[in-house]
Amino acid sequence: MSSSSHRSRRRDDSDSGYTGSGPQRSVEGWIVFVTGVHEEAQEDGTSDGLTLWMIATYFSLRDTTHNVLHFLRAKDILDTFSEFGKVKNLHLNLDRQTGMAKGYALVEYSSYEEAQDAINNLHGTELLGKTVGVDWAIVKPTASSGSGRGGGRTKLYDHR
Amino acid sequence: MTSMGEDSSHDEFYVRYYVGHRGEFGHEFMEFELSPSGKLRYANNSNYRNSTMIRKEVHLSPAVVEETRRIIQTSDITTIDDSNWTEPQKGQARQELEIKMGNLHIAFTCAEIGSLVDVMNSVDPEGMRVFYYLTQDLRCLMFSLISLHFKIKPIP
Repeated sequence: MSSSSHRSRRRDDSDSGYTGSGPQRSVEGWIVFVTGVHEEAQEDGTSDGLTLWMIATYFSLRDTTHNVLHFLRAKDILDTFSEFGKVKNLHLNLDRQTGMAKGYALVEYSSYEEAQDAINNLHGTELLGKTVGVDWAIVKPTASSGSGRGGGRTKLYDHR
Repeated sequence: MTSMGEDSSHDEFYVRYYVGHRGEFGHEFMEFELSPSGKLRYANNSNYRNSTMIRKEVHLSPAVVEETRRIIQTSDITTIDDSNWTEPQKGQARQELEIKMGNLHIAFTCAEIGSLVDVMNSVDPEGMRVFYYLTQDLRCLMFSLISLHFKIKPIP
């Protein structure tokens, strides 16, 4: 899988996450969705993180360390995705209850090619010790999903 | 992890969340709705300083829909019984959460939860806790999608 020589504009349908409609550009770029992101701080892939965690456990500084580990994890993801272009934005959201990663991430690139490259090269690979799914986040509407599918649910903006 | 190809898995997955109240600045609310097709509708209204209603529509990929489903499935919300929950009082902000998943159709209504203190003081702290964290996690995901895609700042 060379990332630069053949920037294929589409993947095989067999591992494509969407059915036909294709990715949709966002206002300032292209958003990639990452699933299967490691939640557990203790088993963080980076040795820095693990060492830090052990020290923090010893000194009962887990809360602070959560933040630091989160930062390190985000940096690992950022480094990985930066191989395919400049990452304009990264959202690595937390589980509100545990304070650990929720398991997904959003990555924004400026260009379609960068995003497609990242998807082609990182989908199904290991990141922070877990196999991740990498796909488009936003797609164009399909014919059936356009507007007013079957009615019934059209009062979102004017009820109550 | 993103299970693909099984058409049935995307059928009948529907989520709607609403939080709002009527007060000094009119009907202020935030609502999002994810239809089985993957269409996300988002609305946010406040009349504060004459700001106008934000209405947005965007189509989420099956990967995002699947992750939303995973967040709901792992939340224990399907085991919650809200029959003892107190309805929001008049003038109080209300929340609604509606989920259709396969044969399951659940809908919750309760007053806005300001913090965990409200959860602990409620008649059903265990159930309210599940509801509170699930809605927080769903809002978090939808806000990320909306703010990245449209470059607007959703005000929760």
